Amino acid sequence: MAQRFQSVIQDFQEEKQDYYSKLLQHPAFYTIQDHAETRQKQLASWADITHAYFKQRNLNNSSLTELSSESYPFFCLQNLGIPKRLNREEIKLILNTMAQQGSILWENENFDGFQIQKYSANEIADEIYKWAKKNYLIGEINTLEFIVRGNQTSQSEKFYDLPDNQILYALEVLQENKKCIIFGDSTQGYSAKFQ
Amino acid sequence: MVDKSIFFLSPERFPQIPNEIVLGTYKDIQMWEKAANFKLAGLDLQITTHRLLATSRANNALGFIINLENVIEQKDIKEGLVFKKLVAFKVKYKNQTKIEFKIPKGIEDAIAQVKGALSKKEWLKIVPVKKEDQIFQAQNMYSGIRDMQKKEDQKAQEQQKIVQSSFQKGDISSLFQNARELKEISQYLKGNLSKVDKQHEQSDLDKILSDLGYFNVITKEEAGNSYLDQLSNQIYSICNELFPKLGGIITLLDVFYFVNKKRQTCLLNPQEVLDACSKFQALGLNAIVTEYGNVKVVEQTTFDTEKDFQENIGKFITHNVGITAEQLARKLNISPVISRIKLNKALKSGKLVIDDSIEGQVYYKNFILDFQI
Repeated sequence: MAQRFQSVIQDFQEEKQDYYSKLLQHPAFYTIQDHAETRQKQLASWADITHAYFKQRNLNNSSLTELSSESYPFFCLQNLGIPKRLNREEIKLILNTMAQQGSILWENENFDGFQIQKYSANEIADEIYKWAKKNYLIGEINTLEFIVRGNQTSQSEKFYDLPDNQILYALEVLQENKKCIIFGDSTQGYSAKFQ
Repeated sequence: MVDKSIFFLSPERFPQIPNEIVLGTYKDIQMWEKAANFKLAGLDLQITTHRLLATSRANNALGFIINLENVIEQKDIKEGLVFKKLVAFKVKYKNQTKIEFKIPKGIEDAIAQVKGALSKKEWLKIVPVKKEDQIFQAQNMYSGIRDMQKKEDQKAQEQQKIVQSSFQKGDISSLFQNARELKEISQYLKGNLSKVDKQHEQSDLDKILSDLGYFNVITKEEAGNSYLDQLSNQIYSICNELFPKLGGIITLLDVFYFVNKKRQTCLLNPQEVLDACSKFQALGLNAIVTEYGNVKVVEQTTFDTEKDFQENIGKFITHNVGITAEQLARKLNISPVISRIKLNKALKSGKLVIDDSIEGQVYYKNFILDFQI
């Protein structure tokens, strides 16, 4: 079981690989927790791992129904007597988190089918920070528009012309890691200071 | 009347004398009969108005009697350097003999009783005995220490009967009667004491009664308007004793059981217990009624949950080794309901995570937050 997940998480940094490996082997990780902080971190981890799984399988789209079917191998721990599987509601919570991060896009209001985005929020965050360093933008304040479609952003950048909500989530990841500070709101527009 | 053999006769052979009165009894005495130079120790001695009855403690069937009318002379003797008195007699026995008694405790009383009996000469007074009395005496004809022992045994049996009768099936009324009598006595004592020093003496009396196992049953009739307040205080005192043993939380069902177990009479109904417990906060008592998953509990407000987790729950759980509520209950010797409440509280505060599966609910330390990336 651990080997199956090992291939999924192999692209993460070493520390993350170790952390996700421990999480995926723990039976309690397959129960979504009630405690707010724990739940947030658990869902974020699940979203990260699930996106890595989609990428490994080269999936472009899927659905909640497919993911929660008995035959679907993911979201299931089998190294115990009785296999432990996340239920439909719990999988929906993970997909909602992924949609929030911009890793997937719901196809319609039914919230069942979805398109899988190429890059996860973490990957985009890494790319934006690399780009900021390369362009000597550390310490500078830049608008979200400038970051995504500015004259210093080439079309080859992974984050070029991505939806604003996906970029914003990536900036939030950077802010959590104390690599940037976000200013502004949805009406005035957002800016970020890299540090 | 001279007894030919005063030694080693069954005490039952000596009938009770109608107007004989027991003056005193003494234990562990020694006797020395000088004619035959015969010594005997470990005797129980009874001094009556008519005679001295002695029984061997080792063998109740053996004993002897000295009728005081046969005593020629009685002396108090000093023995040795240390001043010790002996009771000594010159007795008409065969020819004559001297008998000395060493009495370790209460020799002064014994001497006074013997002298008093010898001077009064009760045996010379003739008491007319009715025929019925003679029959009665014949039926209850015991003498000496054996008689005393049999009477003591009878008393003990009667007391045992009274106690047992209270618990016999269908005899709840006598149990209540006994409880009522005890309460009446205590109320009488309390009433009298309150006239002297209300506060101090009553608390002392309460403590003594409490040590005796007595529990003051508060009733609506006696307490009046303050019934619920008084009841609330009393239930809190019971809970307070139980909190350390049960880990700061007690289910209302347990409170109901413990309170009524203490009361034994005039039992409370569950609603009364709930109403009284609900007043804890209003009365400034350190407990509160709360509900965890449809289970109402009384929780100590001053209970240190953090310390409890560190010292009791935390040491049985790791990130990889989990525990169920039932397993923890067995380890902490508390009820599974309370155990689950404690685990769920720790879960709510983010100390634990839960694995909820078909196989049951297992709790682990929160590895999701604790593991570092």
